[in-house]
Amino acid sequence: MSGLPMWAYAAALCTRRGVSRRKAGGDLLRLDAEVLWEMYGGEDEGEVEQIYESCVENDVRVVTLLDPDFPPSLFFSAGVPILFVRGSLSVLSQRRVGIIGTRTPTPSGVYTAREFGEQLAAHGVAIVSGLAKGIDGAAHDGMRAHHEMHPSSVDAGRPVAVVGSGLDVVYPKANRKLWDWVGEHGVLLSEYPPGAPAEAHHFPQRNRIIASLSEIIVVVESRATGGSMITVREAIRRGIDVHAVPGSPRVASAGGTNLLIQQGCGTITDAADILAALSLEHSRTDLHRVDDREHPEVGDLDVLEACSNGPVTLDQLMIATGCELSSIAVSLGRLHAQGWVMEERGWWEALLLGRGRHAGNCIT
Amino acid sequence: MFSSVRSATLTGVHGSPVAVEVHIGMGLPGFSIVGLPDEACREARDRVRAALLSSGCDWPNRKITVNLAPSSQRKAGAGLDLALAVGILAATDQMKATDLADFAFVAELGLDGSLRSVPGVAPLVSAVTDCRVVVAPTSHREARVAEPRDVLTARNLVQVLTCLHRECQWEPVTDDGIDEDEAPLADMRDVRGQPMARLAAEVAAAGGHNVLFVGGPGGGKTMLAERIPGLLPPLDGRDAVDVTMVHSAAGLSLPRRGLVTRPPFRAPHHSASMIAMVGGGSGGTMRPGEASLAHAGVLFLDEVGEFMPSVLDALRQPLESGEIRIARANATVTLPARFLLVGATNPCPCGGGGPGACVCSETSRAKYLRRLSGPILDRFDLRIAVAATEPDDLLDMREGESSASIRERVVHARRLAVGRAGKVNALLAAGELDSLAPLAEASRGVLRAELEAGRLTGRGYHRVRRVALTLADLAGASGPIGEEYVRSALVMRTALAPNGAAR
Repeated sequence: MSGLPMWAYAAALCTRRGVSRRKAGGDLLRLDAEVLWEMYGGEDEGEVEQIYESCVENDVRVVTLLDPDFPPSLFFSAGVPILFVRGSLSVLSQRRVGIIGTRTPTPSGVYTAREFGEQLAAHGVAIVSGLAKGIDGAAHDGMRAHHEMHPSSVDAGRPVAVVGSGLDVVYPKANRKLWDWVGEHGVLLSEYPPGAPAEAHHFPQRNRIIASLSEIIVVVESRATGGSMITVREAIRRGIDVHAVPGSPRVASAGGTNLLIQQGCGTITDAADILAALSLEHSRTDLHRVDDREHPEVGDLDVLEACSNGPVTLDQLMIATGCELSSIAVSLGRLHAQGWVMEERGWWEALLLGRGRHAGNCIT
Repeated sequence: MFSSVRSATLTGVHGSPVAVEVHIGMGLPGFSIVGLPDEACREARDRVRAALLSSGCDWPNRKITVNLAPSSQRKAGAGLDLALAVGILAATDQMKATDLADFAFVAELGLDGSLRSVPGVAPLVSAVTDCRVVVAPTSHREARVAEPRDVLTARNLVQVLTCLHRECQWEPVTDDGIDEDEAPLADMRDVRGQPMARLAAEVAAAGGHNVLFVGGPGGGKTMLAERIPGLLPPLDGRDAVDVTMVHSAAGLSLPRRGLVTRPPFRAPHHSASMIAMVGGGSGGTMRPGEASLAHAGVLFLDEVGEFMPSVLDALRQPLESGEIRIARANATVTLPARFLLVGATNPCPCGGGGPGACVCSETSRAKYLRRLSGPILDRFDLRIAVAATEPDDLLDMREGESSASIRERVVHARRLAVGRAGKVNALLAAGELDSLAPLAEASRGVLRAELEAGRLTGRGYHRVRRVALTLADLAGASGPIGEEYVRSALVMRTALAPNGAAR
């Protein structure tokens, strides 16, 4: 006996090759982790010590299915006996929605995800997501926006992030701030010990955990072949409802979500729909807040309409409206100032619902 | 035993006069050339000797010394061959040296004594315009561009001799159309749909604004760029002469009339080296590069992000000053290079098109655009997103507006700009904008809002104002610049970074 805690041996089990997690899970119920570790060929106590130190150093807690706060929904359905955790698992007692989607969304997809994040936070609903680029990050970023605006709110919805690397290996790097924020205000989960790199085969596994932790899944934008569809399949297999946000048929990154809707899954167009899907009482809420944008001028409606079927270039706008550039430019300038359209790299897109603040720095 | 014959040598695109001095004296038979000749020039020894012998002249078996004066300047090329041969004949009394003061000779010799043209006849002849210049028959039109006293042609050395002795006539000049008529220029009429991109081409031509087309494959970026020279007015006066000199110096074939009047279009491949782009090279010649060959025309860089960064950076000086100064250890030359820069690039490595259709990660997209970011990206006044043409537009049998009718508007707008400031709008200095192109009150408000929101940089501000001025000129609007033109100029300078980066 070296005095190392039992969880360190459990963590060390994760690093041993040829140990099936599902089998290890069953064994953990019967045997001590230390015995198990030796049974699976562990000899060098230094290995255990090393993993113990890296967990302590990185503020990572190891939770096995023997621990009282191990998430019940992960008990065999996900085949995950050991979790690496930063933050508080109590977040999982909130109502939980999985918000997922493509890493290469349209600007309006990002906008939608941010809006959901912010409004669900306001209604005390936790968001489970993967902290990936695109939709995942945007949903948690929207949550952060709510927390920053209401720093004292105790029952705001909190973020749950399941990642595919060790908790000290930030991937993608661009999300570092968000990653730290989630660890501080919500909970970061991983199956992989500290130091594990983000490898491609980790992500389908990670998606399985996201599906298991969510009460319902909302796909904001996904290609027909996207990784989000793996999460969707895992959710369907577990009887978890899947909902999707419809997109323009012209936009490739809405191909998967539109397909889901065709196949009969629920349609989500705003955060109230999500609350309804969770059977939350929302009649008192003010989700349908009055749109505080100025109504667009009659002369600008042609241009707004031409922008409302997915992003278009000025060429397409000029053909669709048959107007001169000067009048289109004036309309676009006005619509942009009022928050009705946004532009990215020369592509214009209408923002028919919601408020302009979500579109990052684009709109002021 | 001594003679001096006039000729010229080429540095960059400028010819300078050279006196070919021949001395024949006692000593071991030999032939040396001094006065910094380059390799081609030194090889003249063998060409000239063979040409003289095959023309039935005597070769002096004595010590021949040739000096190319001024002797401190490098001489390049074979254009001194004929002068050398004539000098040797004069020095050996095979002809009368007194005949020669009025003449200059610019041609290469074949071993059979025939005269051949050399690159750069136009600038070479311009160095000896007070003479009657003898050139090869194929150089005739080029030589006329420099307007010397007289241009004389002969087929071979024998004919030169007999004509100098007034025993026969110089070769009659026949404009037999050695190079075919110029192919008709590509016309804007072939571009279907794409009203925005067409307008951008028109604005670029009218105001001299550099334009960058951003779009996936099949968007017609190259097609548009090729048609911009056809929108520019024909070259006149000074420009035509400059362009002709540059093209002649580079050895390009000139049109039948001699003067180049059509704005040139140069589209170097993205593997172009620094010297290919801005000019230079070893030896005495400083060959003009693509940037100079595009002088007064269009320099089109397809896949602009694939060019070597150093090559792109080297274009900054000509973009600012309209000329390139190349300094080498032994010479410094100034090459003209005032061109309209037209760039084309994919928006991302996959070329995917609009937001939501592209499969590139944010990182790889940012990396791709970073290759052309910075100072060069900033010099494009117009940055236009181009989408692939819709099938309906492609199949539309109606023709677009023709280049000729667009050119009328362009010429008119250019006339307005030149009448106002003596130059096209893109060249207006920041300080001139307030007095020459004041903003209307509403326009000022628009620009202030953009600046305050951080969506417009200081440099972008001036560029947007210049483009707005050109738009107003094209529309025939006078007075302070209205809001519609400023708004249009803003949307025509799209930011390439995500999330509302500054224009």
